[in-house]
Amino acid sequence: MTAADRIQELAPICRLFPELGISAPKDLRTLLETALGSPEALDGFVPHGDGWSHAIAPRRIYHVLAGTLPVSGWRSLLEGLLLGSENLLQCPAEQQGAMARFRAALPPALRKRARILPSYSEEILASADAVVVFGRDETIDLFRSRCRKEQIFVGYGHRASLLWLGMVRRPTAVLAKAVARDLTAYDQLGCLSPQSLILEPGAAVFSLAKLLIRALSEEARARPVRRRAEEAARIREARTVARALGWPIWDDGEELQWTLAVRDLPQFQPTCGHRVLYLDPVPRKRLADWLAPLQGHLSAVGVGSPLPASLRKLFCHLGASRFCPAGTMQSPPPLWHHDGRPPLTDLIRWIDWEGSRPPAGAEARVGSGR
Amino acid sequence: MAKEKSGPISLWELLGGPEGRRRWGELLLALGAGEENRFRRLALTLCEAQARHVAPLERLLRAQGDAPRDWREIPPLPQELFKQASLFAHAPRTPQRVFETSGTTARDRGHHSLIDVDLYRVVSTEGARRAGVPWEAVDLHFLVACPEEAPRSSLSAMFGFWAEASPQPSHFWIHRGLLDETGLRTALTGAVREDRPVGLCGTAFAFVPLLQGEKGAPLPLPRGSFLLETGGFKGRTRELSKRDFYHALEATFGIPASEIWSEYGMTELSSQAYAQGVEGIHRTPPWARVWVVDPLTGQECPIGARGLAAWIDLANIDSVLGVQTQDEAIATADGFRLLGRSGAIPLRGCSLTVEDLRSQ
Repeated sequence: MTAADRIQELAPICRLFPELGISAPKDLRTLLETALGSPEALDGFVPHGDGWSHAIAPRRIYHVLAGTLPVSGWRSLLEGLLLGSENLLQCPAEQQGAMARFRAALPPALRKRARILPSYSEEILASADAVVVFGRDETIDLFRSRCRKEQIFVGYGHRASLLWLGMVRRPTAVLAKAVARDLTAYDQLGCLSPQSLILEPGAAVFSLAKLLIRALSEEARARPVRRRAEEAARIREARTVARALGWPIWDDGEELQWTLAVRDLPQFQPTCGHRVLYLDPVPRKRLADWLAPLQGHLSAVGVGSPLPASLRKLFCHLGASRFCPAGTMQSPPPLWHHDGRPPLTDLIRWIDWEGSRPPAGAEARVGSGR
Repeated sequence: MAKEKSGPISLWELLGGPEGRRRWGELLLALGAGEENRFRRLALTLCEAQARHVAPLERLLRAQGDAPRDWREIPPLPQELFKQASLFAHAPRTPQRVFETSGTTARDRGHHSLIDVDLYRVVSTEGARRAGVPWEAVDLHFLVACPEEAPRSSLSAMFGFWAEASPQPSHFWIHRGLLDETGLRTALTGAVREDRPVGLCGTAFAFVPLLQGEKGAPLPLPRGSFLLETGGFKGRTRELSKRDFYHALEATFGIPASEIWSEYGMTELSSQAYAQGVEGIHRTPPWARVWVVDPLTGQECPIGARGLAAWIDLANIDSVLGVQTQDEAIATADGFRLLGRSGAIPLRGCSLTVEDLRSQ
């Protein structure tokens, strides 16, 4: 099966899983073109400078998936399949159903190349030539230590994202809806979920809160989450802490769908998720110190009002790899640099052939070069 | 009973001085197990006094609206607040002791400040005595650091009180964070040889190196010995079910799993609950209550249902008497069955958690 065949086979599956943000063969082709220059590089030698190059995908990828969000697992499997690799998936129990659903949707030829493992397998891990791990830093370190030097290792650690609204003076319902959209997707558990909405003192905090209450209520009505006991415990704890510390707080009572509080903290702390959003008024000159705990962990910054260059630099320094308009935080484009890395390229090994013609026996592929 | 406004001296002033604290301690020890009304009165009085000095408690009471009429209506403060706020009820006085919860960084640690430890000493020795832990009858071996080495550990302090009050010898076997396994084994072997019963007490994790099948060999203890574990394995890389742990203890020390003591206490409290055996029911002393709260409804769980343990501890006079834990428990007719930490490893996506930041 060539790369072009795989593109054709995978595109309809992507449409069944809109969370992937990929809807047409051209998206997949663009993904490969951006990473490889030409999708055909996976099938054979393509022109490269004065010579030829061939992209070698891993024969077998061992994926370690984490947490409750299936989308990162789907995307990782999709990339492996697109490259033509065999994919072995170690999933936590909570994700097994979602991964099985994705696998079941695949055409038989690709389904054969995706296997969900019942548990960790040292033997299978050792047999893979690439290992992709999502999880806490300790998980990543653990798997990295278990890999051989020659195995390709790609780790995606935990990250936090922020919304920047700065000195918003006249918040609008449109802005509030955008914030609510970012907040409610994936129950605020993704690395792209905003953990804090940063304002500058003087911003219209309470006007914004009023609009957010309405928007969050609408989102909760449209997409309610059935709470589990441990989620309810975290939400109640967050609310009690906010009340005990005297922070202004709004919530939907026993529905446990959303919580909004204006924090007064000396430094950033993550939220417990589950649609617990903190508005954090922080003076600009204190922001670097306030965000210091996030150093190296910042992922996306949703921007809801003009972002000064100095703050853009600060966010970049903290690790930010994506700036996007508020309301689009949860729908990164297909070419998104996850954790600042280009998609697919970390998994590829290149072979160069220097000469005016491709090596004997190897068919030259039509391609645009890199 | 001490009254909140008995003449010119308030209950609070009374609890801030040695004589008042001694009298409060006597009141607690005089409480009978079934004295619900007296417990309720003392709880409401203490709550009212604490609310005047502990702003987070006062705010929660205000948010609640009506003043509590029963101890179950006193809002328990999440343990998290001991990390985020000062709950010392006698500020600006300087506390004699500050106990800290475990944690790798300062921002990970909760603080519990006490004017002095006299009441803690009284209730933690008497509580264990009333539960039936035979700590005064045997040589005591503690798998924790001594109070001098770990002055911020409330567990070390409690075992230190036992050591001081016991007529028998006692030893602390953790030094600079390491278990002196050789010294402990030698001491236990000597006790076996002399047929002197011992009490071996410590955190569950500290027992692991001694277990048969780890590197330890069986060491059946003399008749009359007891084992007491506390704390489970929360926050540790090693996970072991309570059943497997107790059976490993039984195999190593020859004490039936059904007789092994489990102590349930925490830095944020002054009193403890005790149970015996794998399925043991934890019971509190008469001056404390634990009720199990359903996090989905915020209401007390019916008997047999699972929820989170919340405490009212009348001995917790220097901070707040009500503490909400994240410990899962099942309500029973006369206590609760402790299941362990809820969501010790939170089910999260790729989002950074407080635990991640605090583990840096």
